[in-house]
Amino acid sequence: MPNNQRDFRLVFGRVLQTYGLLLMVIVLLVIFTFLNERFFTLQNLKNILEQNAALAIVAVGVTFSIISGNFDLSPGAAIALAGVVLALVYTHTNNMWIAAGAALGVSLLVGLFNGALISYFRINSVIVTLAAMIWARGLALGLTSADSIPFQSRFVEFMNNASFLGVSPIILLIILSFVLGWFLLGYTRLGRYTYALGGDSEATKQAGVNTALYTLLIFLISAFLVWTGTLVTVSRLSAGAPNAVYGLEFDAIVAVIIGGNSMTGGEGNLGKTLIGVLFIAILNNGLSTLGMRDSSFYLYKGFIILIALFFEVMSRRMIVKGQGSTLSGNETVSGH
Amino acid sequence: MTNNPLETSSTPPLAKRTVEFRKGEVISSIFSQFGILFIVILLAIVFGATAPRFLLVQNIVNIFKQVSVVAIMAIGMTMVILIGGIDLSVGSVALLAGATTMYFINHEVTNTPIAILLGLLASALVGLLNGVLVEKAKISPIIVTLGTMIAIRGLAQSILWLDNSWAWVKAPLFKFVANESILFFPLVVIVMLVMYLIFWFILSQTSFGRYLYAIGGNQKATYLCGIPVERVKIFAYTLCGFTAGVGGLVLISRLSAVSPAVGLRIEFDVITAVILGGASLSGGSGRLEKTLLGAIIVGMILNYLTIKGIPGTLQSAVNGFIILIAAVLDRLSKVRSAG
Amino acid sequence: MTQSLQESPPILEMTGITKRFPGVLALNRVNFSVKRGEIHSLIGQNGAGKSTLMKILAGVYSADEGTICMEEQPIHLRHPSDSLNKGIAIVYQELSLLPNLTVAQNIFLGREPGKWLLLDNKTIFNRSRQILESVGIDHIDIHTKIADIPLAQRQLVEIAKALSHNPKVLILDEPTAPLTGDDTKHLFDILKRLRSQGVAIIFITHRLKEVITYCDRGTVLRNGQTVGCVDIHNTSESALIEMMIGQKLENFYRSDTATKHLPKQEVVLEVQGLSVGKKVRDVTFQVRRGEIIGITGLLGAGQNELARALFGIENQVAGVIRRNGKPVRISSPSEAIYHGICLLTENRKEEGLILEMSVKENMTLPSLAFFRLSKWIPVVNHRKEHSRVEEFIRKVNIVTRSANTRLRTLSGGNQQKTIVARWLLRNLEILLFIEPTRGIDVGAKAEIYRLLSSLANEGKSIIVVSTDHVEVMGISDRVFVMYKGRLAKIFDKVEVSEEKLLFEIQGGVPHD
Ligand SMILES: Nc1ncnc2c1ncn2[C@@H]1O[C@H](COP(=O)(O)OP(=O)(O)OP(=O)(O)O)[C@@H](O)[C@H]1O
Ligand SMILES: [Mg+2]
Repeated sequence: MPNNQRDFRLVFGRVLQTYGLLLMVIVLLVIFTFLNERFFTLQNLKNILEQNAALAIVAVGVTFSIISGNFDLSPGAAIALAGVVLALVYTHTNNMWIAAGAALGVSLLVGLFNGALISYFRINSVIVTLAAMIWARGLALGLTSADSIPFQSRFVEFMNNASFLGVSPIILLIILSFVLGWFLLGYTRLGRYTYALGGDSEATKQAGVNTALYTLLIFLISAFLVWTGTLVTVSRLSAGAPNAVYGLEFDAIVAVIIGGNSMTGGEGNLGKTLIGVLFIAILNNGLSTLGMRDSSFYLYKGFIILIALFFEVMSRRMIVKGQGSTLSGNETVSGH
Repeated sequence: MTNNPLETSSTPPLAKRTVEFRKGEVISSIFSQFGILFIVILLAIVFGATAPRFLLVQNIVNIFKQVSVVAIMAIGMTMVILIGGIDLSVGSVALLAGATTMYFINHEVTNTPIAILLGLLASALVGLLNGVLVEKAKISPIIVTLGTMIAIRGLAQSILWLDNSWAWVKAPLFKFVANESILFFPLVVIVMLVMYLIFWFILSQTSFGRYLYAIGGNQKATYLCGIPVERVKIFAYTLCGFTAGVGGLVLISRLSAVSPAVGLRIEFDVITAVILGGASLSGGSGRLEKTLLGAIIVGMILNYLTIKGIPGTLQSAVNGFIILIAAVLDRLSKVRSAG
Repeated sequence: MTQSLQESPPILEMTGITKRFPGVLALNRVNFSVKRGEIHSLIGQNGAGKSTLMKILAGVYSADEGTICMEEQPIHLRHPSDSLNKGIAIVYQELSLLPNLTVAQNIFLGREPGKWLLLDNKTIFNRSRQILESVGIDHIDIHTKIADIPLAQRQLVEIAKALSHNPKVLILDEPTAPLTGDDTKHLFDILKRLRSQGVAIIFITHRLKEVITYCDRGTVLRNGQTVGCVDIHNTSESALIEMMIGQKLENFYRSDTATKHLPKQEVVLEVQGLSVGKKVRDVTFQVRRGEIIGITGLLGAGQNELARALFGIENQVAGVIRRNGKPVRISSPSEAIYHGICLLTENRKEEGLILEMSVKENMTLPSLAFFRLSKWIPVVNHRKEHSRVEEFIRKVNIVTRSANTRLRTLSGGNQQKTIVARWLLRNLEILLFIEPTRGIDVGAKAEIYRLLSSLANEGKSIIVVSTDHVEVMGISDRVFVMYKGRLAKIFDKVEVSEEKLLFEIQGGVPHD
């Protein structure tokens, strides 16, 4: 095979990998604008971000767990549970500080529980967090007899209406979460060990790292972000709802993967997650403004996500081929 | 050269250094091999003590009938998890099998056995599609099967809409399988056991089974041994679709109706059964007989919660916790034997 | 120079160390001690217990019985970080760098400089560069990922990493196995420097030449027991071998291992104008039936890629491959095997071993079709499989409890023997072996050479790729030297000498 073809593959694959999803985001924007003229307005774009704020915030935590080679399926249910607790405490005490503190406590407890089981008892993260997804949601439903608990407070008003230089507190929280995550991942020991754990946890341990402790810390960070997501969610609903943010965890994982982070861990960054989140957010909003039935909504969504993933995978393969490395027939995004 | 000050240099070479297993080692290795069996017994004791009805023969038979669906679907899931994959679409495939089979029967397109075959064929095709997307398009299995989970449910529901979104199971064969039993053994349980026997044989006695374990253990090395890794994996997904279809047909025979919600969220129970059975999600380890025990645990928990009359809203919470407790116990048994 | 130091008390002393694994007594009341400023070699056959003993020092395993004293204080090592804190650094037999991190990140893993959680990347980069420089491998870019550099360089990075701990005791478990002669010499220059600084160095190798030339004392293990500790300066290679195997040398192996054999004239494999990207350029040669060809060269001279291309696992392959005169297309291992070609790769951990499966299952993986009940029923005949595996366990001398033992629990050398046996059992016409004897002890090595030459006598053609030019010279009918991707020189067995070979390996420049 001539070399220039190989270089072309390498370059094209890199371009596709770096800008492919961004391109799809733009294509989506164009299509939805075409289908609905009110789509591409500043107001709606802001709206998209605020609607998907919990997703964006939680995706930061999910990025941590995926890079470290773990899965976290619990954030959606944890937000529901923490939100319900917040609402219950607030309606009883009328004090938002106490209520938010209680929600923080609940989030951290869920994270601590998950993290401890995964790190110290070494139980597979999928099963732990899948169970948490079930029990946390179940507790939220049980605590409220499946009703949502509406409430009014200055805090909610502030979150929804205040603005700093045109930026709402909710969007500010998204930015802060990403900045926090970016800082932790790139500039701290915790971040370095997050990557190391995903590469080879046994070797990391042999290098003298307290792997259990850092795994636990990763889940606590996730929990902190869950709390942030809870504040956003209750503010937008003005209630604590046991059925809130259903399926959020899947959206978050898909956003992280589709952005180009490796499913098996050890690699990835938040820039990719951000683009993935934008993609999912625009897709959610665009499809719902078209007003279609639930099942078709999911069909379209699934289909479009698959296309995006296909590009992501193609670009990876092209790079691999272009580098001329071996065993081309054999690696999967999910392989081991 | 000096003469070595060695008194031992005359001992024979490579004397076997193997020693007898100590009592503790034997016990702990049995414990780690069959730890899950102890968990089953432990749960039975605890549940029986707190809900006497739990241990009645009638109820135990009932548990097995309930377990059969998840257990059958867990067969294919074990294989897919063995190769380091996962299949979230099994619930939707179960619905698809039920919907297609009932469509053919109720509209008298074919007779019952052929309709069943067609339903199973459809299920296997979905499995094939999953396998091809994962292996040929190289998309991660979670995403692929999450996609087919949504899409196939949509497809199956569209088939149901042809019948006002609800189909009764009227075929006598289904009624027969659901209600009859041979010597205390309900037919559904016999179907389950036969499936387990067949697939146990495939996994432990054939080269295909060996390849599944090898791929899960080290895919690259297996490929370098000239094994057609892609084909083996695609076949595993196909078989998973097939067992999901069988599970779906058993499920609708027990429900005696196909509703759009058949098989919803069953994938969680199925995956839980496999993982409780000790399979590792990163592939390479897992045994079918333990998967069956895992499924029994899941069934026991669900049954117990119903007997205790735990309200539906809290049932899932308690279920989640009990599964975690089982996982912790399993882990502890392994830690003891490793230490 | 070591004379005065020999009187000093040991810096590290292990007494009565016993370690059991289920069913195996890996170490049986072993005594071992090292002093400041010595290079102490630990030798013994595959499975003797060397790595296990060192892992106890590294805090990976804990001993069932026995005590460890450092500087005359009893110490307890429960976690790898305990050992590092005590000044014990180790390079494991199986490399333990993280492939997804860069060289610099790996070197400082677990002890990144910086305040609290913050990393001080600038210091990490600068210090890494210094460290690589001090070890003389600053041609490696500290920002490349480990996954992107070849095995031998990974080994050097690993050594650099261990050195950067400034250890009092440095353990190297077969560090020279993937290295070439030059790199080995270079490594020992560094070790000598460390020795003069008072570092105690424990060195494991199966190359007794290295022991004789560079080490001060040696402890020999056999079957999990200490045989004795000798002063290397007054001993010989053969004496060491006798200690290792526990019997007189002449009963055990003949120095003339290769039985005479004559290749036939018939050409079974022909390679014409083969190129692999920029790594192999325009290579042409023929392989005859019953011939053993050795390919050697500097690291990265293209010999590995050449072999891999013949097995169908390289991209950008150009040129023609002919099997028995007919051009064939080989683009995957299964096609290669179909054409009667097999390959043992150099990276056994990633590309060979299936650690969770048994010795038996590992060995028969490519040959399962042989053990079918009948041609059309893919059911494995376990009895047949088992007896065949037992035969090969005996043939290549694998130390294992049984054929059903998990490969993970075997020693490194025995794992290697298992995957060598995998292809011997497959019984194909053309065997491509890259570094087949890496980490294998002297006795078993001789056994494998003997097996190879008897296979050649049966009419198999064998290509051995190795950076160990002595090994290559000893077994081959013809020796190929690769330099910068090209086939630089072909020697016949009669004309080859060590000088000439080294000269060609260096690309035709005089060797000093
Ligand atoms: N984790 C384990 N479980 C069970 N047995 C083990 C384990 N690790 C090592 N062994 C056994 O202990 C013995 C000593 O192994 P060890 O790895 O120390 O040998 P070695 O001297 O380093 O050999 P080599 O030269 O091949 O590296 C072997 O018989 C091996 O099978
Ligand atoms: Mg060893």
